[in-house]
Amino acid sequence: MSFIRRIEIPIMIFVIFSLLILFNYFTGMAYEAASTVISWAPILWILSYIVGYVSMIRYHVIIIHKKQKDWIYSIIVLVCFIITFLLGQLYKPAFDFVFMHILLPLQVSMLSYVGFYTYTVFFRGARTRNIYALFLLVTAIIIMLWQAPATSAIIPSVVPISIWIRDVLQTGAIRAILIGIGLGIILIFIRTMFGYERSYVGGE
Amino acid sequence: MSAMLPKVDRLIFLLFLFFIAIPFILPVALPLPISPTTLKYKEILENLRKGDTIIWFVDAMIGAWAETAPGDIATFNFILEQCREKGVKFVMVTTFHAESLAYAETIFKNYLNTEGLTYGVDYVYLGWIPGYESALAGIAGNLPAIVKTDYYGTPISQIPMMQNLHSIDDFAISGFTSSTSPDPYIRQWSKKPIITNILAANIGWIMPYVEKRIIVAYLAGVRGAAEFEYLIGRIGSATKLISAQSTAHIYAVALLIAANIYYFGFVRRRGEVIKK
Repeated sequence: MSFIRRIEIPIMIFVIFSLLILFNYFTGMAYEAASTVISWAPILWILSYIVGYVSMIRYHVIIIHKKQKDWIYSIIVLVCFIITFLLGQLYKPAFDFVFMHILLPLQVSMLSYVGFYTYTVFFRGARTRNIYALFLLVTAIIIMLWQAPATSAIIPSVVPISIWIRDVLQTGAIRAILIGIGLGIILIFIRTMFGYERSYVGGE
Repeated sequence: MSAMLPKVDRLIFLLFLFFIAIPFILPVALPLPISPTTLKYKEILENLRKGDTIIWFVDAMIGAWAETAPGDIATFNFILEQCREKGVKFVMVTTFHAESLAYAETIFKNYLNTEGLTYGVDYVYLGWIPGYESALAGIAGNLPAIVKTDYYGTPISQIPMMQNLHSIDDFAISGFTSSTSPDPYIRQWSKKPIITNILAANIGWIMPYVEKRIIVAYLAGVRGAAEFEYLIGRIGSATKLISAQSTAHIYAVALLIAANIYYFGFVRRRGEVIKK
């Protein structure tokens, strides 16, 4: 049993399957085997949901059992979870109602709430205390005028300036970030292959 | 000043509500210049030929509904129009999250005009293939290995239009709707042209791919959707929202200017007086 719990086992599984997929990608050989491995991903994804649900239920049951702080909210979470789950399985129209008339407005409200606070930030935080803040402010104003169709029609000169900001300044910065991300992915993959990166199996 | 701030917040919130409500209370037709990118987007969809298959990954979260759903609804109905008129085939699928499944399902069941089309022959909805990038890779590499049934549980071997779809090579073009990273679609589907309906805030993210012509056209949030609705002559929710977006942005610019006038006119001057 202790052999199965060794950290080297999942690392070996990772290395073997990664090499198989890489081999197929670069040579075109072992196509069926690589496809089979990739087709396991949805199953593993679903299993991760089940693990998540079990963990969530366990967490809230413990809170309710020990009557910890705000335990009443845990009851609400569990009741909502059970009702939504059962509706999804047993009565689709009611599930659609929950989605369209409860979940959707709540999610959109949460985002709108952030929107309101953004507007107070415009007033409180966007003050030009130095030259860099001035650049940021001017750029923000130009982009916002451009993004509002009415103003970009009334002041057409904001359009070419905005496109220049987007295509030159912003794209340049994003490209650098993307290259950084790409290099990071390669580096993490190599570290994982050699067993230095172990956080995904609970190591350090 | 600090005691006054909550009052300022309330005033800012009230004015914000007022400005976004104006276009709904007093409908005014604010000008809407059509972006070249939206024109290109329509052109690409229009140029699909008989027998071409387009696959669309509907991977947005529910919170993005207001911004991405109008574009999706207009796009999918336009694609279905191409299916009706030219014999184009349309595959819809979601890979990202259970929330994306609910998002896609709502659009599929409630907003698509499939009149005159046959399910399984002209269009198909594959439901949720969990795994995100792994699922994208699987569909691109060996579709039958990863997709066993459609949304209704029908084996894909029994769906006529799926018989000729085995990998990325069998699709003319792919599209995606995303409220997060566009990178996985580029990594797995860049072999074929890609179009996208994406949050306006994420446009900067896709620009390097647009420059390289990996993403050949895009709709930029509500504005792109409103432009597209205008181009295809199907007025939907984006057209109603876009005027409110205009007034909200103008209000934001006014707030930025007001904040700086206040800062330089009162706060800094008062600070200088104290220093002296």
